[in-house]
Amino acid sequence: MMPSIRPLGDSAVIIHWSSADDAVISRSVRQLTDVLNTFVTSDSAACFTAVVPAFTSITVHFCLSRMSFQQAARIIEQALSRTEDLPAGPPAVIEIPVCFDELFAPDLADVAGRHQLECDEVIRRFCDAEYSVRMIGFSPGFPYLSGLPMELATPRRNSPRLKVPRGSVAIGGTQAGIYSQETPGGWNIIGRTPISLFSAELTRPCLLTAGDQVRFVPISVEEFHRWQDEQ
Amino acid sequence: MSIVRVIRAGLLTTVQDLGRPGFRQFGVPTGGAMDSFSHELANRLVGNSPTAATLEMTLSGDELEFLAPTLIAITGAEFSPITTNSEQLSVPQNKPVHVSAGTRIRFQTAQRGCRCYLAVAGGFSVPEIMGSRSTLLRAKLGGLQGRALKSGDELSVGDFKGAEPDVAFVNERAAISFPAWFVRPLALPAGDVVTLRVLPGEHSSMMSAESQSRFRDESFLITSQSDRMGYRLAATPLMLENTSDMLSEGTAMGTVQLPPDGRPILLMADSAPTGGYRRIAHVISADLPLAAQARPGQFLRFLETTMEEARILFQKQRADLDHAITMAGLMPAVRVSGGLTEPTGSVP
Repeated sequence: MMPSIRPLGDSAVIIHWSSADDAVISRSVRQLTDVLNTFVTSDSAACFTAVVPAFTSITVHFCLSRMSFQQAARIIEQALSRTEDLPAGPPAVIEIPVCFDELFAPDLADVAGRHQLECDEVIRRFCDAEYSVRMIGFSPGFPYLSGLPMELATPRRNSPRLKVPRGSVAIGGTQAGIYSQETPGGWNIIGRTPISLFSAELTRPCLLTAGDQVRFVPISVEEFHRWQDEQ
Repeated sequence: MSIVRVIRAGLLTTVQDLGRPGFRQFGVPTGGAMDSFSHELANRLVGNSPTAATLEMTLSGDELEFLAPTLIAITGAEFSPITTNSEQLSVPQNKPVHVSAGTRIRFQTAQRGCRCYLAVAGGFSVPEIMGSRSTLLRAKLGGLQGRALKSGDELSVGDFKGAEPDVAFVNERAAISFPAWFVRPLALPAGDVVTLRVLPGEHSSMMSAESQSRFRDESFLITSQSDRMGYRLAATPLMLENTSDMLSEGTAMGTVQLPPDGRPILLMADSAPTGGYRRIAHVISADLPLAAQARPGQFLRFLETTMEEARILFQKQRADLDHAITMAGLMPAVRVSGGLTEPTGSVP
């Protein structure tokens, strides 16, 4: 399935897939991102400044003093033809410990009530599912996750909180996410992870990358504090 | 090592460079100087690489003391900088200026434009975070402890490693000394309406025909809710015919988004790398420095152009920057031929 390649202003290109099959798009985005990323580090004239994967698109930023839109589009077309022969390597699976204690889960009872489930049942179903990181956005390190069981889908809160604590694991509509930094937010908070999703001082500042698989592992309050102390 | 001390901080002064574009995929804004042209011009005038860190002052400037002799350059908005030691000398912009130890310079309020840039030979030395020294205020990272300058701060200047500019004009005993020539600065906004050239956005045809023509013909007020992240614009709301939700996808500095309330937002340096609003236009790269010099209370007009013109205008701007290197005496061939004596700058 060939995506469309269109300009986004004079120094970026947006590559867009339109198909009903979520899994196919997700795989295509991941494969092409891997290939395009090789052009970010290279010092050749054909270099991109940033490659930003999202749900059904990839945005490629290029340096206008080094290439035109047409040249950038040509490099992307060549990269697309190369991805067809690539075997789809297995994505990385990352386990994220989450404490679902009411201390950290102000909206868990609401979510359970709305779906007429016990809190424990919500936690069980939430942790049984496997999630896929579709994009990092909103704030540094915030992953948008697909794979939430349909029966747990919960609309955003009517009025967003001004401060959502860092590490909060939340449900927003049919998606799950993790607040990587303390920011305002309107998603339903059902737990908190003690691990850091974003550390500016690291060479690779972000724990997750678009395309990774994520599983949540429930931990106790004591384990939460132990994890936190170790960091 | 040389030090610059902040005697009195201005409204919003941050350490900036060319930002961290390679981290957009992790949700990190590119950031960096809002007016990257003036930032780079200031650096070139003192012989720095374009990536050296400068100070970006907004609307009202700082008073600074230079504790050691320093080569500086001031570009961008007109801040009428003056020395505040015993003698009040006005410090020229758009040329290198040698400042002797103990000299204090007060940057006043912007007469024209919004942001000025101060470069020092060697660049401001703050820790590099994710490959950049730029301050990202919202994430509290980079620059000087992730924040704007405040009175009493001290900034160290890096060791100068670039090519030495021609410093024949320097008078060690004067508080300030500078050459007669200057380079052509960015043309600052004159008047209330600032015209920016745009390329159409992917969703511009989703606006009603009436809104599409209003976007072309009307002026949009830059509201006070405007900052390094973006400018919120006010006008009669523009209407989208299709208001269905879309999935978040990539944006760029210069993207004009249209949220459901019909009031466009022009995304600037610190905007999030992705967004879920419709994109109705993109300001061309060559006009982003001008956009950075527009201020709340002024109006923006959008004039459609082509991809080809956008690139030509950008290349012209790059040529102006290259010319600054020649003027600063950093191109040996020109030095030999005596090209330095011919100023190109017209009186602004």
